[in-house]
Amino acid sequence: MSLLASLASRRRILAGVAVLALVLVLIAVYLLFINPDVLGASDDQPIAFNHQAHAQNGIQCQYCHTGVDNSPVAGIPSVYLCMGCHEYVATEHPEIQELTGYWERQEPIPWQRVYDLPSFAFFNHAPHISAGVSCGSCHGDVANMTVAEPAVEMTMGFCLDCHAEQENKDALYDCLICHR
Amino acid sequence: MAENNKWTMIVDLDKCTGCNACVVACHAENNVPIANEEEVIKGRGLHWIRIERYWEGEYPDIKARFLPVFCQQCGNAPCEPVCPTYASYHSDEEGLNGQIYARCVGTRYCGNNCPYKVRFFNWRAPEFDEPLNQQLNPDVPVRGAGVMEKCTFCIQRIQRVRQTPEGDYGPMTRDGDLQTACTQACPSDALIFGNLNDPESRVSRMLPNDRQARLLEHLGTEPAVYYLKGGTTNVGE
Ligand code: HEC
Ligand code: HEC
Ligand code: HEC
Ligand code: HEC
Ligand code: HEC
Repeated sequence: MSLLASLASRRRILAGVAVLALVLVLIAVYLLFINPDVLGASDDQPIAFNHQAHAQNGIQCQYCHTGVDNSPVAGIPSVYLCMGCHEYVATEHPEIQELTGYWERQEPIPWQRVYDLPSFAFFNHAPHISAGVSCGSCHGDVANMTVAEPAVEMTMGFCLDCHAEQENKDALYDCLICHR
Repeated sequence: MAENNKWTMIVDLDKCTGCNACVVACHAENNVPIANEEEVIKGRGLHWIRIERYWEGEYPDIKARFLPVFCQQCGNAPCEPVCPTYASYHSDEEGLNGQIYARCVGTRYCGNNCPYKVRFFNWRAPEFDEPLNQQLNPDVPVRGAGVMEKCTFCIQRIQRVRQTPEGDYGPMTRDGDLQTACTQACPSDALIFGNLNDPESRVSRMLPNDRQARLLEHLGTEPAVYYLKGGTTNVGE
């Protein structure tokens, strides 16, 4: 092979490598910045609700999540409950003005789920709260979160690891309590 | 192992009029898919409760007899040991035959081994046309294609009561705290549901009974469904 030809083929390989590198960089940029979903980050909420700001003002979880101690679902508060305070509190804040917009249009806020078990698995808050399990053992330190994000992966193993430590382990291992 | 609960159904055959209200209520409560005519002809219909009809005598001296048949929640169930994935298993806590859909791979061994023929296979993904999709029960999963399903004694209602402060989170619930969808719908009170481990419950007070019989009892399946034999019937008389 002549010197010229080998140089040309080497240049072609270099060009190929450069194109490949560019593609990889683009994919990385897409994953990291453009599509946060791929990395498991939660979708943006319609209103930038800040748990920390409320916890710092001494508002209890149960004030908003009223169902935790008596029903399967904790419940997300209604716009009505927000407005009980925000008719007067921080009314100039742009997010509160957006909140007031929902109130005036009489529309519910389309909150995005942070935790969502598959449809074949059933969770129930009431027995946990009654047994004294704290919110934090499953949801992390929400009181210090500016954006509510999943703290743990709610796998079956996560549930059963804790159930294994309970006195009535056998009852809490029965498939039928979570699957129907 | 001792069972904490022993959920039991009594079917009073003297009271059953064969009206099918229980069948409809069960479909609605449990998101049971509805098969079309072709599928029913192929034997692929799904009803967790089936009302068998028998004629007795010759016209005009003829009587209709009805026998509602559903999962007998056997204490010694033929469906359980044949499941290769343990999707069909015995819940000692509830005294029920559990069917864990997520675990089921659709071998259909359980259905073949069931002497009562009360297990149903989803030959296709279920379709709930408008407006039926609007009334799907969120407490019950919709089963996908390739999964076996059957009567659960409305386990979602049992759990909902047990897992609330009123249910004391304990194994026992008091009579009247809950009903299955079929007992609730039965206009003639032919279906009676309760916990046999609770001596105060209606089923405990009704059993043992002179008229009691269990289906194919000689197979040793120990069914949890007791039929009270009909001496007379209010149909055709
Ligand atoms: C002022 C009302 C309010 C208070 C107080 C509050 N929350 Fe929330 N919480 C919300 C709203 C609104 C959402 C839905 C928006 C979001 O996910 O950020 C939410 C979402 C959540 C979620 C995620 C739910 C999901 O989508 O799966 C968790 C977990 C949660 N809160 C836990 C807590 C805990 C723990 C506390 C107490 C430290 C608390 N919250 C206090 C209003 C409140
Ligand atoms: C034992 C674990 C556990 C504990 C303790 C717990 N949660 Fe949850 N929480 C869950 C799971 C699992 C889900 C998702 C349920 C689903 O998708 O069906 C959830 C969902 C939620 C949701 C959103 C859905 C709903 O139910 O309304 C809120 C809000 C919430 N939890 C708040 C709380 C608060 C407040 C506390 C403490 C008082 C708490 N949780 C304690 C496990 C827990
Ligand atoms: C019990 C009274 C109360 C309720 C109910 C309440 N908030 Fe607030 N909210 C506050 C207080 C106090 C602040 C802090 C104001 C400040 O720091 O200036 C606040 C701040 C905020 C802010 C601004 C946060 C920031 O980043 O500074 C938003 C947005 C907000 N609330 C949304 C909501 C929504 C949405 C609801 C209903 C789910 C709600 N709040 C319910 C009392 C309440
Ligand atoms: C941090 C410990 C812990 C974790 C994590 C946990 N549990 Fe529990 N669970 C408990 C305790 C304690 C009880 C109450 C036991 C009692 O009342 O005797 C309980 C009870 C229950 C019950 C009611 C049982 C009954 O009596 O019928 C259900 C259902 C349940 N858990 C589901 C879940 C699911 C689903 C998850 C995972 C998403 C989960 N749990 C994670 C501790 C936990
Ligand atoms: C304490 C609650 C709990 C108990 C008890 C429990 N599971 Fe689960 N199971 C779950 C949760 C929650 C999930 C969903 C996990 C996820 O999303 O990764 C799950 C998922 C599953 C899956 C995975 C399905 C899939 O397609 O990913 C199977 C199979 C399963 N469970 C079978 C069983 C069987 C069989 C038993 C009884 C031996 C049982 N489970 C007992 C909570 C439970």
